[in-house]
Amino acid sequence: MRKTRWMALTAAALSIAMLFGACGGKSSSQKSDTTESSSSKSESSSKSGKLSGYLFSVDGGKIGVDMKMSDAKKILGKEDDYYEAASCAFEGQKDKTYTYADYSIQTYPSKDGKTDYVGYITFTDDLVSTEEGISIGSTVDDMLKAYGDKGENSDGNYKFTKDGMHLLINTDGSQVTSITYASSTLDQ
Amino acid sequence: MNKKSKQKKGKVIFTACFLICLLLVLWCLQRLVEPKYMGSVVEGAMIPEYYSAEKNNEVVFIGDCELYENISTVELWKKYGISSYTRGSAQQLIWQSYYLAEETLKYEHPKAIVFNVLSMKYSKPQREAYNRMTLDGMRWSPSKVKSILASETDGEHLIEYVFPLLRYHSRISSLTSDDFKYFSHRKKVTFNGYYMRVDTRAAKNVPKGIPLTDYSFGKSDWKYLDKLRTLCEKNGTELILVKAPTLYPAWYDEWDEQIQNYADKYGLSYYNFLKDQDEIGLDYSTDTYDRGLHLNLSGAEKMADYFGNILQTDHGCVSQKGDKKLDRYWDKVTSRYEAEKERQYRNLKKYGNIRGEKK
Repeated sequence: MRKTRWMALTAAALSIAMLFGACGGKSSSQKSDTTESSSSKSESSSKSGKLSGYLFSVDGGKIGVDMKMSDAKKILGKEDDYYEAASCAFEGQKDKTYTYADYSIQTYPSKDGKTDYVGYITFTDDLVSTEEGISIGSTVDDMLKAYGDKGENSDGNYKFTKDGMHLLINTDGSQVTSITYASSTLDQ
Repeated sequence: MNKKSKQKKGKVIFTACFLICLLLVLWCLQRLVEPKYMGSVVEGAMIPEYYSAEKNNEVVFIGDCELYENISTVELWKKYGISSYTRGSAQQLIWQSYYLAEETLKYEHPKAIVFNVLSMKYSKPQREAYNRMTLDGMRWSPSKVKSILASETDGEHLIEYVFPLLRYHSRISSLTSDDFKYFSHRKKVTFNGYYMRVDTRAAKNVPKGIPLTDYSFGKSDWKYLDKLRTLCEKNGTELILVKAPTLYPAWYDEWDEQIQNYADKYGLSYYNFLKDQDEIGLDYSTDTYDRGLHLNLSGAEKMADYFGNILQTDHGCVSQKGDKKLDRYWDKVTSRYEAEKERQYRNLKKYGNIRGEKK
């Protein structure tokens, strides 16, 4: 009887120890249980150093979504304006917007908040164009010649997906009115 | 009693005691490892505060940080005698708002439920961390279960909400002093749901919204907005839709039009306070603490002054001053509010931040 009791107590203690010890590997990949889990896809793609999807050629270099903003800034230089927006409840995790003369870049933070990645590149005037030669003001026909008609179309607004990222082109029916490169990490 | 039956009785008692002790140990461990939200991130501590608050509110606000940071419930009481509560949480999703409303109506029947429409932009579950901040603090009820099931992201399971120890056990290796200090209780972080910030950071260079290819709200958003509307109708509570006057994230004209059309269709009031900034008297160089995302205390009191007048004039909300129970309750809330205001201003002056953290 006494032996049975000791065995039961030992089994209970071991079970509790296993509950807390066995998952140490899982917990080590999470800084905190209260932080979000995202960005792992973009972190691995940027670590490989290869840009993919539709790219934006500017200032003698190429930038794309999901690349580190620090790498993008080596090509783009200092921004004209800067804005940062803290996420609700998560200090250190901020959406940042860098505004340049003809475009703006919005970033998103890595899971640990230490690295910013390019989330959106938005053209703000017609002085820049995509690698395929499309800019704000281009005709819809030219745009469809450049990208084909396979993109998702919602009331004259197009979404072209390549290598997991999106090129968002809005039109008024005859002309392009906005162009945005978008990371799929930020899909809602 | 013979020897055998005595032994059997002994075994039963031992087993029962053993199980009770085991459950007690597990319960204590669970209390220890659960996030307390008493440090720099307090948003997870907001939802449970409702249960100990005085009910009998004229108005209940339900929604995300655009409500709990932008309208001072204390100012609504002080100026208009309107007792209100904000059942807010960080990035609260519309289905979570619906189930909170459903739960709230089991406790009280306010004249109006005010819902902030920004969450219509999210048509699917977003992040576990935000889910936890809304759901962990709810008392167990069918509403909580349904809210969890509607909110689960990949990898989340209901059982981990029933037994949070399964989710948070890894925190055993990163416990802080707060985990022991707040083992058995929590300090209040809001004032009837209003979260106070007295600091100021002017809005500057606020970017325009990124053009979307599709501005339509998701089916689930409309479904839960309909459910919220009919829930209020059945309970004789008016549903009022609002959009807070925050400069970021963007609130597109296309979204605004859809909400206005819905409100017109069902005879609801919808206030887009972005259009009333001048009337409210908002100054984004002094009334925001984070560059226009949320209002600070100054802005939140202006909002309360403005909206309180609307609630009184156009929605029949009456002053509840004179109700001795409410008067006593609000005296305590107001005292705490004034003390916190002083504390934050003092810390701001001495340390440059409201928490009193030394740099």
